[in-house]
Amino acid sequence: MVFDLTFFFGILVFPGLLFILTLALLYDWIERKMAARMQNRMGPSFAGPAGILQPLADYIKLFTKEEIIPEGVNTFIYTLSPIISFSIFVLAILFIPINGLNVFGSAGFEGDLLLIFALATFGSFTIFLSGWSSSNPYSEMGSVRVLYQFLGYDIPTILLAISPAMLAGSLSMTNIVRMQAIPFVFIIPWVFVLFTISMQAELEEDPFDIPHAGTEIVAGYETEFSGGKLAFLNLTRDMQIVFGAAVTVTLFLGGPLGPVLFSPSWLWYTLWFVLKSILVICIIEGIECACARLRIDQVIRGNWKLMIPLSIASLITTIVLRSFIAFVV
Amino acid sequence: MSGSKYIEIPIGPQHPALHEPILFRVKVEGEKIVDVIPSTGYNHRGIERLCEDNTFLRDVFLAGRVCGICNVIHTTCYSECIERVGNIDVPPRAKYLRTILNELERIHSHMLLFAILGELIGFQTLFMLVMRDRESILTLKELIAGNRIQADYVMPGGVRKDLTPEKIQQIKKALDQVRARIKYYKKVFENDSIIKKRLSGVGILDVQDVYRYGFVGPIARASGVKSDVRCEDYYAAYNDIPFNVITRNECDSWSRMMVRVDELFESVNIVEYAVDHLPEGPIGPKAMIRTVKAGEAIARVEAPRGELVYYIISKGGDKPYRVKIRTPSFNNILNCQVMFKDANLADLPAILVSLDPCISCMERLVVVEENGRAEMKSLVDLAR
Repeated sequence: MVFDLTFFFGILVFPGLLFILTLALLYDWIERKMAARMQNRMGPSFAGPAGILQPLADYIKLFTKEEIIPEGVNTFIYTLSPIISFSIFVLAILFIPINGLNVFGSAGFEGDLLLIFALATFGSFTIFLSGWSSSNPYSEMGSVRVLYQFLGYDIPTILLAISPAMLAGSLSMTNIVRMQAIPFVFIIPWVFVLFTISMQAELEEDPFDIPHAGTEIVAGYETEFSGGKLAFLNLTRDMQIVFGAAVTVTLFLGGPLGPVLFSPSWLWYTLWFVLKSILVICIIEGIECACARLRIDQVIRGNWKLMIPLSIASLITTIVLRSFIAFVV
Repeated sequence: MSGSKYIEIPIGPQHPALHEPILFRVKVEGEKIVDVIPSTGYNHRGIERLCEDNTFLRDVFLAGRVCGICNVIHTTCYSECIERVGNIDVPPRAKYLRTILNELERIHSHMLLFAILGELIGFQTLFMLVMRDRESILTLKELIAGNRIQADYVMPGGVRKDLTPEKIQQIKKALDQVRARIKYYKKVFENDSIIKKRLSGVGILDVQDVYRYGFVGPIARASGVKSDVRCEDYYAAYNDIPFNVITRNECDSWSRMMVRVDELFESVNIVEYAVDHLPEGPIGPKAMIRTVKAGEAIARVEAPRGELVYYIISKGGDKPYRVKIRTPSFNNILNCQVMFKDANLADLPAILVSLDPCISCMERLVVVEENGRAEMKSLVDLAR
């Protein structure tokens, strides 16, 4: 096999790992700054211009801290699960076409939409493992809540993600993006609203901020983690947010598509993608700031009694809409 | 289920849901609370004993430090008690000034509680905004007493600082703004569906339990018991000032919060009435009151959390023989397990915050001597 420099550059630097990490830190900063402004505070303002380097400074601080492994934990899973969950979410993001193509330089394959959702579910399960292995009552409660919430909300999320795929007639994300001359949010806005709500639950943002409800179970599954492991768990959380924003942009907002003023086109594609995902982040954070936390039983009841029937109904309406469009055109 | 295993989750002594150290040993089955056992002793400071060692005058400052949030109310209660022991007359202007400060303290204490409620149910924005609006009340307190929190304003026989007409104008202006903000928060509490979902129907406390366990303050009033020392007993200027006692009948966490919201309007009205009808005259005795004649007295005031009782015995001279303090949180916190019946673990902060926990002011140590053997009694045993 020939050593392909551009391939490795694509995976490791742009649009791969380094770029995604930068995005994660940027979105973290935007979230914090926006929440602060909504709550009449300043937010991070010392590290870098307008505090933009604060997330980086936080991670550097965490990585330099002492790591404590408490007695009685399952050391193997406890050490491995933060890194694995982080890697799984990064892998899922690598499949999303950020600059027109995905990171592997290909147009993806038929069915990569299902693959990234499978990866996300598996990532959530490793988060559960991290809490379960740390033998602490708070962590156990937190990780069980993770399972309740993710297993419940994965179903409506995937059902709702099928709708754009239905309209595009393909399960490949590149094809879905290609079909969005008019972004799907204007064609099926109700699916977009429902998808945003279930994404809110997938990303553990208020009002679904239950697995690490500080005032009930301290830090949930993160309670026993410290130092680099905690940093990886926090990075996982940031990655989840990048993932959620990227999937929403790809499925509903036309992905990287946008006006290209001059070449190279990949620069414009990346710019549009980042701008659109910042919009999604702002929506997510706006809901987070305006809501209190629900209770776990209310969330689960809401999922099985409300979200799943609604997502099935929206899937049916999308099917009807698609046959109608096919009939007219 | 028989044979099922419970997880015991310690809430405290250090826990994000608590702002002062106390331990709640919570037994849960899944997410359902089976039992809650409060256990105290992390914050005992021996203030009652210290009071016996110090003079009457210095005890004023000790009384103010029993509770940081309601320090004016503690000093008011202590001073009223001293005045009853020594038959000391208080000039009417001082009585009105005491009323003003007491009510300002009630406003900022209740607003602090709303902020904590926001934090505990995961509503950071509510926390930040309420804390911002509470600051204007603290500024008023600083304007009148000289300090934002620890006022040390009330002294036996009167108060320490007078009000000028300019300050009265400032107070009125600030109170108008605060009233508008409270109206807004009332709307939030009434209309926000998630707050209602989290609080209503949670932590039910029926009237029989209020009487059986002796709950006091807004907690009793939210269960329909019309108990308010401000109209039951005479202290400060409350018998001259018209106000309503707020009661509700829902008996849950939400109604406890709503009682407090409505009390804020009453408090703002009381302060406005008091500054409008402020009598002329001196604000205290010419010389500090250093000695009190022999005797004993009991004084009750209405703190933000309920009925506060001071009992003082004097044997003459400049030191009290005994100072007994009974704070409202003592009853409210130690008997709280009746509210956790069938509650979810996620309800625990919502119930706890509706009790307005103030741990440091309720920590008492009791040594009971029986057959020559000294035995420490736990507070939970005594509260029952």
